[in-house]
Amino acid sequence: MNADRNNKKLDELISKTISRDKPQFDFDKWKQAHKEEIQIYKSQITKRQISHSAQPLHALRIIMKSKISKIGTAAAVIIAGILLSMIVLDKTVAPAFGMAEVMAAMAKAEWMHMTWEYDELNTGFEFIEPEIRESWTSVNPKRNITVYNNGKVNFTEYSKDEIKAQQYDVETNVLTTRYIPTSKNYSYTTIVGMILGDIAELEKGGARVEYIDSFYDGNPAKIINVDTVDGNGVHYKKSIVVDVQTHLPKRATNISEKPGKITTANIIFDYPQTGPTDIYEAGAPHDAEVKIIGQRITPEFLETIKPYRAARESLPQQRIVVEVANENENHSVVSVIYTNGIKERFEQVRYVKNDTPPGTNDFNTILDWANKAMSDELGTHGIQLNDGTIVYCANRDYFNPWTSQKVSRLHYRVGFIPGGLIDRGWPIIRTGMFVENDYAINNNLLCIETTSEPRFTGDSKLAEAAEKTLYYIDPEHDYMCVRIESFRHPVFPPHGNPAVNVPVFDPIDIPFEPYLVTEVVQFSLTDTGHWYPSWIITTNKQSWSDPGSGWEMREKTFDIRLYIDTSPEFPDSIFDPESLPQ
Amino acid sequence: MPDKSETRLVEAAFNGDIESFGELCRRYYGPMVAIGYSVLGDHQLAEDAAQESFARALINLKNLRNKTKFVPWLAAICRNVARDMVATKVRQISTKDFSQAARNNNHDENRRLIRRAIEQLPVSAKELIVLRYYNGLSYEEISSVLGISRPTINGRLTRAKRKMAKYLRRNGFSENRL
Repeated sequence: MNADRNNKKLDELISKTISRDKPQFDFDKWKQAHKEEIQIYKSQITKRQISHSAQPLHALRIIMKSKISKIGTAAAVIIAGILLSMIVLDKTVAPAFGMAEVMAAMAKAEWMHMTWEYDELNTGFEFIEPEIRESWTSVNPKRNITVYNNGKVNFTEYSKDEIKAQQYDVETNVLTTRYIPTSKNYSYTTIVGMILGDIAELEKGGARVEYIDSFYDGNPAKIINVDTVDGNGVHYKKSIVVDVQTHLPKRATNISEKPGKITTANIIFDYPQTGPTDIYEAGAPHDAEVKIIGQRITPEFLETIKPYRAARESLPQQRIVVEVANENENHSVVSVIYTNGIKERFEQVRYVKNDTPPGTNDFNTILDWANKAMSDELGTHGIQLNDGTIVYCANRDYFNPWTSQKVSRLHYRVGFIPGGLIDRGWPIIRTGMFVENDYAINNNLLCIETTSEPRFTGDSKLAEAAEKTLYYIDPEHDYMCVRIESFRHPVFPPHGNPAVNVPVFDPIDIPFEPYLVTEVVQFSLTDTGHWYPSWIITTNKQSWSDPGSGWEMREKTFDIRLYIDTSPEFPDSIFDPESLPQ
Repeated sequence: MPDKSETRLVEAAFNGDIESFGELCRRYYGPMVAIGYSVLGDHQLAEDAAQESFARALINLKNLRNKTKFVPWLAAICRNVARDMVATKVRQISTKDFSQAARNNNHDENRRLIRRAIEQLPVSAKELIVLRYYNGLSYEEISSVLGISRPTINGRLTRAKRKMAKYLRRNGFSENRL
């Protein structure tokens, strides 16, 4: 093959396909359409000409940068000390002061601005962000904006279905925008509602929160103390001082500590009428290279997915699901899930045997068989109870005794406990794009394509590769998802290895063959008239750990049968943590 | 490197001469439309993006530190404007519009595949291909717009075309047509 010849032919083909005549630009017409911008430009020029005569101010700013800032930092240390001593010493003498008054005073505040000062003695954390210069919080919509001393800017905006998280990195001059789907409601009408909401979230996650009557600046004040430890073992102590004169939070201290490391920040609050409404207004330059990660939720997508979500919502909340999975015909996994829509009990046993339930449609016979397998079969057993906030777990391996633990649900992703029908037929699809392909057209199905970016662990190892997933929805069977195809970005070697150069999702690098296919091969109807997937086959082609040869490609097939009772009766005591084996 | 007249135009625009800014717009309208097209895949929207980027550039000209980098700076703004248009106007432009274009030209299978091959390229490679073939910019002009050297452009174009050829072969484009 001749490379030059190839190039010429390809050049011609590309030119024929996309070439256009050079477009002509009419500047007069453009000026007519952009009068406002021209006005801004002219006023900038005028201001610049005036500022040329104000040189002494510039000199003053330089002095402030060098000396005054040091004095300011020292003052911050003193203020932080005063705040802490107030909290400790004045607990008993402070007058009572109601949070209702604070809430009333803040009812109209929509923006809160914070100026940060740091203790000079900070030893810092290697994994903590650079020092913050100032930040804003707004409601309607909720926004968190942070500007760092090194020029980095974070801008996060929350809406009903998605979070838009933007980050400007000053070193690379790259502005990264991530669209993250969410089902959480972030609508707040007041700043205080949002602060209290955030504190309540921390409290749910195990933080200790106390409200103390005290004094600040010689006046009565309310102090809110929050004490919590995050997943990295960093101990955070936050104290917010609420001024009794204005009924508004005025100052706060944030102390982050780990053995040998401490960072203390003093924060001063003010309440402007408005603030930066996009990342550029917050300081990111317009010429930053923009990278967009994640798919946006479009109004068209939300409209088209409505019947799927409605079908998912209409599933009976009170139900028992028995699931029997056979893996490559030598392992059986039997699961029983009880749920009342709020609480869930999940029991499972996995054992070495190709087992099948009795050939009957009688649900109680199947349930009895599954319960017998739970008690008789020797293998790995697990029971999990989810009361909506806390997950209680009990596990047993072969002859070992049961071990149990209690964990906050906040530590788990949604869908941690397989909800029977939720994971088998109506998976959560938060965003995506409706696409057409041969399989969807030939089988009268709707197809949704979703993509996900790679996820890394805290130490920059690859936790999950970029993926593309196709969901095929069947409008004829209660919009059930009847086939899922997952395509994984090729990453080798797999799992947990450092992967510095793993690219973000790039369609051209996604293989043509899916590594995981889940297909509903039989439907059935419940007593309440809902379709459900009664037989599912899952094929998984990927690298598996092998003690002898390291990693190797293998294909695993799971044959899954589902049995459902949508009008069951069971006592509420099955959700009681006391019912777990000890 | 930008010529002296270009730097003089940028300086003049910086100092308040709007007509110099207009001259710069006229010079770089074509390349900016090409950049917009590489993101949006739509000629009309690409022209809108170029014009909007001039507006943003005008009010941000005060922030341009290096006057010799005006065109790459303008190109970055145009790229961002086009991406904003994709995000805010909620058009599933990329693959969908290319397929739409393909449907309009059903008889021309070659064009459909070529468009798809361009669409599959990484963003920077797609931009380079469009700059080169949309309204036939020379390597010199591309170098000025993107602020990268000619050998770099040559290497990147070769790699992009290699990727396109690979995609075309994989999708049944016969070898003798390449």
